Amino acid sequence: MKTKLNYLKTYTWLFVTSIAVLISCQDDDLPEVGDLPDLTPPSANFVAIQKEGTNLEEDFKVYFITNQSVSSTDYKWDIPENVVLLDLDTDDDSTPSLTSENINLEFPGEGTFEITLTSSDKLGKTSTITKNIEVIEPEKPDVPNPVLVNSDFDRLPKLGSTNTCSCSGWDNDDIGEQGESSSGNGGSDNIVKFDNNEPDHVYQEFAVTPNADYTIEILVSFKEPGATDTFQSMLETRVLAGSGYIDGYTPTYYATAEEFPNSGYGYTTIAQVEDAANNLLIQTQANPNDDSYVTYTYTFNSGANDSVALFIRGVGGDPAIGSYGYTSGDQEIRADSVTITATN
Amino acid sequence: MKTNFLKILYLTAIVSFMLPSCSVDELTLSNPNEPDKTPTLNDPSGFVSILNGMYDGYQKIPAGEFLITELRSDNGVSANGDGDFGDIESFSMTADLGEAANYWTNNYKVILSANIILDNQDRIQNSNRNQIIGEAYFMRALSHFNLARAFGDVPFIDREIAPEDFEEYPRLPLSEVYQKIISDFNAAISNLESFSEKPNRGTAGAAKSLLAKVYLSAPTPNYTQARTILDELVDENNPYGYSLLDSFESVFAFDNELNEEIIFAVSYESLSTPPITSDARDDNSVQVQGDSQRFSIDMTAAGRAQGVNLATPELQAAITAANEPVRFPVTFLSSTVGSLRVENNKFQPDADQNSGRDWIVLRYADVLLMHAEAIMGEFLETSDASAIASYNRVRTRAGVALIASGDVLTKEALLNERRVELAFENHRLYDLIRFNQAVPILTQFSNDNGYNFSANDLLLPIPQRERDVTDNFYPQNPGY
Repeated sequence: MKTKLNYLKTYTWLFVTSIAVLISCQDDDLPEVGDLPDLTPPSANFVAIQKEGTNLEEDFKVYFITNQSVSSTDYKWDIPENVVLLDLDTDDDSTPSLTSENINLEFPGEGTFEITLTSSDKLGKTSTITKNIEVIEPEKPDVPNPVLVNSDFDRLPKLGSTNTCSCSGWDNDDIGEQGESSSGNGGSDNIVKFDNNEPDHVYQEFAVTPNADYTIEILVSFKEPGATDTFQSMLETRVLAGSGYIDGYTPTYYATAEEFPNSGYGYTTIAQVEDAANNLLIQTQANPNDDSYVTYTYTFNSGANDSVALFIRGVGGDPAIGSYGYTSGDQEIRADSVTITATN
Repeated sequence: MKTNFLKILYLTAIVSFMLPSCSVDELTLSNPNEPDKTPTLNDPSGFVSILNGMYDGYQKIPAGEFLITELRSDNGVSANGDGDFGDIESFSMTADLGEAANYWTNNYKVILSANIILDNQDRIQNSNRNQIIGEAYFMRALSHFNLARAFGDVPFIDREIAPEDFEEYPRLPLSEVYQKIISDFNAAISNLESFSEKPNRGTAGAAKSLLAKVYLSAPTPNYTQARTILDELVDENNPYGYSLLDSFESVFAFDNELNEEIIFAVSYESLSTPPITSDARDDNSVQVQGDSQRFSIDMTAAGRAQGVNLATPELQAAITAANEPVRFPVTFLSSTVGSLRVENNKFQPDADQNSGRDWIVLRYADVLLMHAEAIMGEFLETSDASAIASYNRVRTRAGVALIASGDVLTKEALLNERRVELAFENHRLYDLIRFNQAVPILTQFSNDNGYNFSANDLLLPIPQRERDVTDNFYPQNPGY
């Protein structure tokens, strides 16, 4: 009997304790004695990392937005309407949403965009941060200026010999005769001549950046026409595409003028030169009837080429003279220098 | 019944006594096992011992470094994806990541040895006093550089400190950490310049090469300084005798360790003592001179549960037999090619569990590629002839197409070249970060493999145990 009473006592005790425990677990909104404060409330933060890729026009718009919130379990992003939430993981079934922990965004272009992250914990506490993302298209690297050899037409050794010529570095005998040396514009041995009634030319290949714009400046003087002249000389400037070089030819860029060959490279026929498809620029300058030195300026775009050739010749004369199918007219033309600069 | 009541009374009394007595007690801690360093510091051979201890400590670093670099990149994967390996390769690391804690501890232990030397440099009587000082600066700089790349802002410890001094050394902004690393490497260079030594010890040439990498890796890279240093080193007649070996294979040949291409390496010996691991404790059985290492076998099917740091499909696609005739067979173990577990062939074990194969920290091919990187600077490409020449030297040995003069070297091509040339050498992750390509490339890699990459994974967690013992003095990195 005594044992039974003991059992009853124990069960009563247990029952009362359990009720007490259950009641004390009831939900209560207000802190009570013994409640602990939430010492680790959420703190929202994120970083935005711009994509730096090879597709310069597009990649700068893509941002990897990485959550860096502390003590947070749930996330809600607010993005402007014109900003696209990217799904970079197209293999899986899930699609990112504005409640994903990390998101990837594509902005429409340059500008400032407001991104807000609200992070929360399971106690319902929230934290919000708003950042302005300034989307800037990175500046393209400067296109370097092309390197021309003997661009001042100085009288230099030619073809590895002791012979000197202002045309050194500028001769391609397959498509014209060499321009000869002279003095002028206040200097000496500093001019290349396109003689009257001769198929004189200058030709040189140089490296370019594809799809870049360039400016050519040529400092030139035309002799004034005489009373009896029949043919008016004109100076024709062409930029010939590397895609038109003879088959299998890889251009070599020499460091000094005397290293250049004078035939069998790049362009080898006038037909090749005059093929419209090979020309990035054709400009013809008529005689201004004034023999002072004038700078003529032209521009071209390199298109798909990483190499081009500058070809300048005197035209306007009797094409029957000589063996190239062109000659200059009755007046001599003199060139002092040529410079080509990249337009950045 | 009476007895029970007495018991309870007794217990209550004891507990009541204990409670107040605990609240006022002030503990003074002293370590009875703290060795007395005075005799060591008064003996010239003592500094040599401390120096050897410093290198000995560094042997633990390659033992785990591949796990937090190659495995955390798109190069390496583990066979089973379990535990730390799985957490790292799938970018699911947490604050208690064991390898992060090992890396932290092992680097700071090297720094401790270096600081004991530097704090007591006035007492060094040895004829090569400057060399000892220089090597200490070298290792202190290298270990802090390791920590900065792995953890971001880290404490820079510049003296021997006691545990309670930790509050003097908070996590420093990364730019300040880099300034101090640069200053240490410069001190190493000036102290070591007149000494020549094998590349398994700190040398002036190695300090310069690493300093160039520091300049390239800094939060604000200094390309000009890096280039100035590298211009001297890429010269075929450089004063340190570094050169690119003719044969790529012989760079990694076991009988050709510490060759002219090696700038800094960690040496091991195949002894039968227990091999060094990243979590090896300070008991005498493992802390002996000339330890063997276990990482080589860990990277094979015979180690760490069928192998870790195996080649990802992405790495195999980057280095194929067809497009890399020279580097493919040296990079991958031929007997595993085509299987699901492709092993590296650069660091295969020579003696199973007790490999004596050295770990290459930096070699000359890296210097040449850094030269191109420094010249390219912040741009996406370069047409600079000397940059292309350095790049082409590495390509020539590999028997692959060169960049013609007049053409441009792009940043993308340079990054890929580094991946192929330096695969499995713990460079890939930090290359991606330096080239600003870690987030796009690893996001893609993670998506393709169902991993959880975010930009937060580019830094390791500050080890939880370090935060626990310092009452969270070090703020945790984001995302952990």
